[in-house]
Amino acid sequence: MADDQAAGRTILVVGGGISGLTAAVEAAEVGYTVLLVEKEPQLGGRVSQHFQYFPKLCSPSCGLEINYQRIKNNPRIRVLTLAEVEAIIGQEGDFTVRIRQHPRFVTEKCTACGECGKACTALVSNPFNFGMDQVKAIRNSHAMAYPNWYFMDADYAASAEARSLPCPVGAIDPDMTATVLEEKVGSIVWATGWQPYDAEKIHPYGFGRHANVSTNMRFERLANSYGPTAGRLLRPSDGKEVKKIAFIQCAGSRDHNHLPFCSRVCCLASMKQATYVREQYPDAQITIYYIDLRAMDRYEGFQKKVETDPGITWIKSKPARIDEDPVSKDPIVIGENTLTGIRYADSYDLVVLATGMEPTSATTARVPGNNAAYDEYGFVVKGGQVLSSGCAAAPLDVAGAVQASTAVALKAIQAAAKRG
Amino acid sequence: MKEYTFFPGCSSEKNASAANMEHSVQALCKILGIQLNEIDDWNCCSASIGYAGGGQLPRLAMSARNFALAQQQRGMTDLVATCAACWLAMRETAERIEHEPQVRADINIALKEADLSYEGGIKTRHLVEVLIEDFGWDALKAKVKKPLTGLKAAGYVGCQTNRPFGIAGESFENPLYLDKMIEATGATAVPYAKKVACCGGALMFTEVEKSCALVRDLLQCAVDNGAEVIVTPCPVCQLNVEVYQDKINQLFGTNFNMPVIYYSQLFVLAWGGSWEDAALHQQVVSAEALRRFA
Amino acid sequence: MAYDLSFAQDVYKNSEMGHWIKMCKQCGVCAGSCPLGPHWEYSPRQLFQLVRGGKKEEVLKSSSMWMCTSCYNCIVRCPRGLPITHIVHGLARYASVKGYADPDQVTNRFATKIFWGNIVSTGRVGEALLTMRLYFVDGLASGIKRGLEMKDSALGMLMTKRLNPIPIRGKIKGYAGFTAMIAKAQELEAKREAGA
Ligand SMILES: Cc1cc2nc3c(=O)[nH]c(=O)nc-3n(C[C@H](O)[C@H](O)[C@H](O)COP(=O)(O)OP(=O)(O)OC[C@H]3O[C@@H](n4cnc5c(N)ncnc54)[C@H](O)[C@@H]3O)c2cc1C
Ligand code: SF4
Ligand code: SF4
Ligand code: SF4
Ligand code: SF4
Ligand code: SF4
Ligand code: SF4
Repeated sequence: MADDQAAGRTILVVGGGISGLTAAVEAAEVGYTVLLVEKEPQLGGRVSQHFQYFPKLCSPSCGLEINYQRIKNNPRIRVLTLAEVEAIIGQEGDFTVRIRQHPRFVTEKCTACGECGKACTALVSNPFNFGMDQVKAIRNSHAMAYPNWYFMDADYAASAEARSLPCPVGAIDPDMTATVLEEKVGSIVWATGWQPYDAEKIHPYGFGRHANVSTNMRFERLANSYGPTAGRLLRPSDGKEVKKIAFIQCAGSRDHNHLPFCSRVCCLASMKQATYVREQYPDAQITIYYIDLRAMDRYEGFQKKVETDPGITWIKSKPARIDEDPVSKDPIVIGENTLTGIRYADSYDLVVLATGMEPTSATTARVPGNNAAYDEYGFVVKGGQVLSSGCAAAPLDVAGAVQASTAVALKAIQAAAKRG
Repeated sequence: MKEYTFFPGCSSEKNASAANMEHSVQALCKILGIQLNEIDDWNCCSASIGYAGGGQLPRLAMSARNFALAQQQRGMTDLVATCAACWLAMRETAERIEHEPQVRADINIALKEADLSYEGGIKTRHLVEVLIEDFGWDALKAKVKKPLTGLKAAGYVGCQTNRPFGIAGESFENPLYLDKMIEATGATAVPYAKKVACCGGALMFTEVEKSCALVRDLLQCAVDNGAEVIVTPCPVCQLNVEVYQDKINQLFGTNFNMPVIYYSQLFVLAWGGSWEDAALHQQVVSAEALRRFA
Repeated sequence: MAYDLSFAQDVYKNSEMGHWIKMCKQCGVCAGSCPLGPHWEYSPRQLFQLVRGGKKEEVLKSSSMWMCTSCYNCIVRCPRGLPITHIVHGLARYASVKGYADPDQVTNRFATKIFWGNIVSTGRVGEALLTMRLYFVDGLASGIKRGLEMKDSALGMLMTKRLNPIPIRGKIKGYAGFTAMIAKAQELEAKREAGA
């Protein structure tokens, strides 16, 4: 019976982005036990990949850091990274969940001293920077990672070198295997967030074919000092400074061939990224192609501020396609200016596609079993056994995600208290 | 021997502009073991330019008559087309018959005047799809007797083989099958940024200068990439890009002399067929550059 | 008349795929896709806007719709899924049937008279006759001039047996049924276009 009692008071939060973190901390701080399950080696989600936040243009790491402190100081939160929920059985108040814990090959003893990384000779494409650079096969994803324990790629763990890596505290264990845990929980919050819409699917824009067509999330990494260019805005083909840049809004959004909905943040993200460019290159020419600009809610002030930059040209037009100059590799944006009716073909150093947010719950993070209700786009909505929060529920900015997650934490508490 | 019902289209008739395609297609089919059973007494599909004179129903009825004859003569066997415009017109008709009951009913009222009826169901395929799906890349490569090693070819897909339907599994902006076909013969597919650009289509007849400007860019891109020959699946593209080169040279002071051939001609040559089997004697711009492989 | 609000309604109802025009969100993708873009008086996007605004004469007298090469770029790119090619073709026909289209507009003349006439006279396209009709449409003198301009190409086609030296072709066997079918289809089409 005592066990049952505890189960009823445990809340499972799936996804350790800003939404999952918020829900976990809020519930734990009013006395509930929380199990936080994150698929990646560290918490933070997409926010940890951003360079700066709109509207204040501060670094996202301080906001995340506060949450990590709250987790560290709260014994009621248990965090599992590199873990995924495989099965959900039961109902609100009385679930049994099966969780697969993938091997990290490095134990909690790790102090992130970096000795192993120095000795490691295997380089792999860096997923945290969207493959724009290479990293060691044993590493942490970025300097602010939490938990700040190294991890090893599975392929590398099988190599001979992995066994000979030096570690002053004996944290490396290439023989680690996956384990499966069963846990009893009272309610479940699905906070698996979003992934950037696959820009290669937007064929007319040539991402993947044209060297200097990038995406907004890649651009966040490009601007970041831990990014592939150490924060300098240089274009991929030849490392040239990005002095003439175009942002293309609604790339793969509001489009029946792609994501039919508006992601609500990408107009603001492009405005924000225009400030990154301005900061580095005071003389840069910036062009934003848009259908209509959506600075949702209270962000109009931010738009007004960005609009005072005389070096930004705003063109009301969804470009038809992007060509590439075969010699210079300059992308050429082609379309019709809908205010003047004039057709353009404009060359740039770099084009950034403002791609939208696709819910991971539509693809890689489906809720196991028949425990969720989805809307037509794959967001998890009311009507199933699990609650959803943040970008797993709707496209949101960080403030919106935090607000929604605080509310969901309360619902999760009520649901957990239900007797099954 | 694989059998298909066949709709050649007007341009593939004897003494018509794509007679070279038709001839090489027949040779290709012979080598692969394909029997194309031509629909007896077919009529023109009305192509895309038929809209203005005909209007939608007469246009759709024309393709429907071909379907009805195909069904009468060959049952529900897959119907193969080689002309992009024919294939497109038939696929459009098939879709509308399937999805729009009113259109289907009206078409049948019209068909009745010719003592015919058609309720849909025959699958329309491009010969290219038959080669890829029913034979496969390995089979196409295995037939090669004289690899076209060293030949630099630009694969020009054009519009209507590519949009709005396209060859199954290919992208609208960067289809790869034609390059793969070129490579399958042992030739080299040069990068070709204009592979899905438009040649002007039927507007070459009426807006000659404007269309010639489009074709000039197509040719220039092929030349810039070192192509010795342009390869295409589309008879309208083939005609426009090959036959108007004189005119283009006149108009723009250029000096193009670029052979433009069909994928079927390329295969027949690589598979050991003769110059004549490949209908390479029927080129208006001489394809002498390929003679070294004959 | 500057505005004719019944015009939009009529196009939605009676022009092929016309009802889709209501769905356009004016993004400009189609306009940026036309191969002959700079030669369009109004881009497809502008045409749709003008239809919605009731600008009947501007739309129907424009040569724009006759600039469509049927490349289908717009269709596969339109974020709203409008069948733009067909809408544009529909507007061209609408203009032609309602007598607004300039009968001397080259593509109008070719598409409505020459090409269509060529098909229905035998059941198939006779390319040689088609070409001749096209050249001689303005009379003998200019026909010979145009023919001469293209004579090298035509000669090439003849020599390579890709143009029939005898421009007359026979009718298909089922020509009577074919003609009756077309007549019936045209009758139904005319009814629909009249808004019945
Ligand atoms: C280009 C761009 C710039 C942006 N800039 C800003 C900005 O400046 N300011 C702002 O307010 N907002 C910005 N946003 C929006 C912001 O990124 C989101 O609001 C935020 O990421 C939402 O957080 P989340 O926790 O809901 O989702 P996520 O950040 O996606 O977090 C989800 C977490 O779930 C984990 N997960 C996924 N699947 C599973 C699974 N199966 N099992 C376990 N865990 C899983 C993920 O690894 C991740 O850690 C921007 C968005 C874009 C596209
Ligand atoms: S695994 Fe060992 S060597 Fe590597 S960072 Fe951690 S403590 Fe240092
Ligand atoms: S936020 Fe802006 S760019 Fe993003 S989908 Fe909405 S309108 Fe398009
Ligand atoms: S598309 Fe051309 S070739 Fe094909 S049938 Fe129609 S007119 Fe004839
Ligand atoms: S490329 Fe030219 S001929 Fe070929 S399909 Fe397009 S318009 Fe037609
Ligand atoms: S692409 Fe579609 S939505 Fe955009 S302007 Fe053209 S028709 Fe309208
Ligand atoms: S099909 Fe016609 S309207 Fe559409 S892009 Fe091509 S030319 Fe323009």
